[in-house]
Amino acid sequence: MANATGIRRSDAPLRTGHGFAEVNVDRDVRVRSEQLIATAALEMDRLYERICESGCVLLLTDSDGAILHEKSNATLKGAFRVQRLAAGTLRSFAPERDVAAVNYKSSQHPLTLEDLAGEDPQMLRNVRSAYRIADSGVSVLIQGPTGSGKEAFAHAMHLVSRRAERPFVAVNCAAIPETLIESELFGYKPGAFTGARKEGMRGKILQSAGGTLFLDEIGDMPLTLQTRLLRVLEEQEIVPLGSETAIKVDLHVIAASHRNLREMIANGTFREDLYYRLNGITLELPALRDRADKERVIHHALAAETGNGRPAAIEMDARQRLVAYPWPGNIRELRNVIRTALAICEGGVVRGIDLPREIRESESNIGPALVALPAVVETSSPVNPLKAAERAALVRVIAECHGNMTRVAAQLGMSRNTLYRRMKRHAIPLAHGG
Amino acid sequence: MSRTGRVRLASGRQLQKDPAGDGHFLAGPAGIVQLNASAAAILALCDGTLTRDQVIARVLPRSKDDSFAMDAREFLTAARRRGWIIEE
Repeated sequence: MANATGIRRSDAPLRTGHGFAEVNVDRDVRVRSEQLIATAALEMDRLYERICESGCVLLLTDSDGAILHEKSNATLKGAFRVQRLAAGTLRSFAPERDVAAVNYKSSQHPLTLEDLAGEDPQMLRNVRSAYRIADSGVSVLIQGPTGSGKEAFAHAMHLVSRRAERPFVAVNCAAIPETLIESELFGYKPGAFTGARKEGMRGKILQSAGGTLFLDEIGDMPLTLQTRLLRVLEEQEIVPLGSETAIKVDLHVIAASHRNLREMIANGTFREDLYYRLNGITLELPALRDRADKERVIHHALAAETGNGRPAAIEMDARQRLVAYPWPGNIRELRNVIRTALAICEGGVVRGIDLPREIRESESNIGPALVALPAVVETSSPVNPLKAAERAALVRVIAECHGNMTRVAAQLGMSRNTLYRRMKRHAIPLAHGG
Repeated sequence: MSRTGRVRLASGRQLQKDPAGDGHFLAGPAGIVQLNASAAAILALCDGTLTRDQVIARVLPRSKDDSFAMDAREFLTAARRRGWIIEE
């Protein structure tokens, strides 16, 4: 029976003697399984005000009744939140204080757009665009450095679209030998070529029918296949290798690349028509070092790597190093580093010594600022013109960027670590503070 | 004086939450330690009224998997060694 608040009342006892109200979280509070518990906890706050009198305790449980989160006005209130939850049931029951909430869910859920956005302005813009175009049929091109989460973003877009119930199929064009991309994508009939499987293969395009095909590193796709892909996109039908009959396919592609496709068009290695076919809209994912919410990303990585509920902590020293490190491998590298540190640290407490050497010794911890740059190379050895030219270039770009090392590195197309190494080699000074 | 085995946060240590409600921290004289939700839940229970085993029993999920109890026990040991909590 539903009451005015839409909450189903039940007299069935959760524990002997305690009546409780049961709310289907999925329906009434709209907590989806992949959603952050933060959202659920917020909904619990609201719900708590609506249905709880003094002394009431709300529990968020998973479908098996295991308690995932508790909301009460007692000491535990606000003390912690659970990371994520399975679609569950929210219960309130009469005062009883011998229950504590528990975080014990796996981190295997795909991330949502909200998870990925965090609080970074550029990511938030991306997410807004993603929502607007999710069901528009507009093709999306995701650009971003390696490890910045292009596939995770594509998957999250898939999940908010009407296609969410159908498969999300990811193909990394750079990871498959050129000669195999064709059969991987388009499939083949039995006996199409030597070494082909007897029963033939459906191919990723057909597997993704009705869902989303994610083509990672599309810039690595050979030109001949670009032509075939373009035709499939335009005709929405496919001819498997060794077959003569075309098969209709409802194909939606999200493509991604860390390479500059416009440059590739200019030098003739990427088809311009395919580029425009794929690029209804371009979303640029920022490098981790450029994100405004780096600390939050670190926090989430820690939560994600301990999704099974293992208690974990990061000491200040280690945390500062994680924040300062330039993360050339982006979020993927961060997750790997945290996963490794958790595996070797004592009792779940990550300290500086648990981090890999390159992070412990990263010079970017210094937070550099430039002092006056000597105009002339001051070395005793004879001047090598190539080195002198490199030094001059470095000095010029550093001056242009007013000493902003992130920008300098970006402009020169190198990591900040490499930049610092080069500066050291050329005796270009850094200074603290400023 | 007999020991009670009850655990509490060491003096000067305080559990904190960032305003966005996303992160948990343990503030102390040596700076801030970032905690995940489970670690914060465990430390929140270290209020001087429970023993280590009681704390673990409270946060233990309703699941058959007891690796969590071991993780929690190791975490409490590390927390004590780091001087975050005191066993009375």
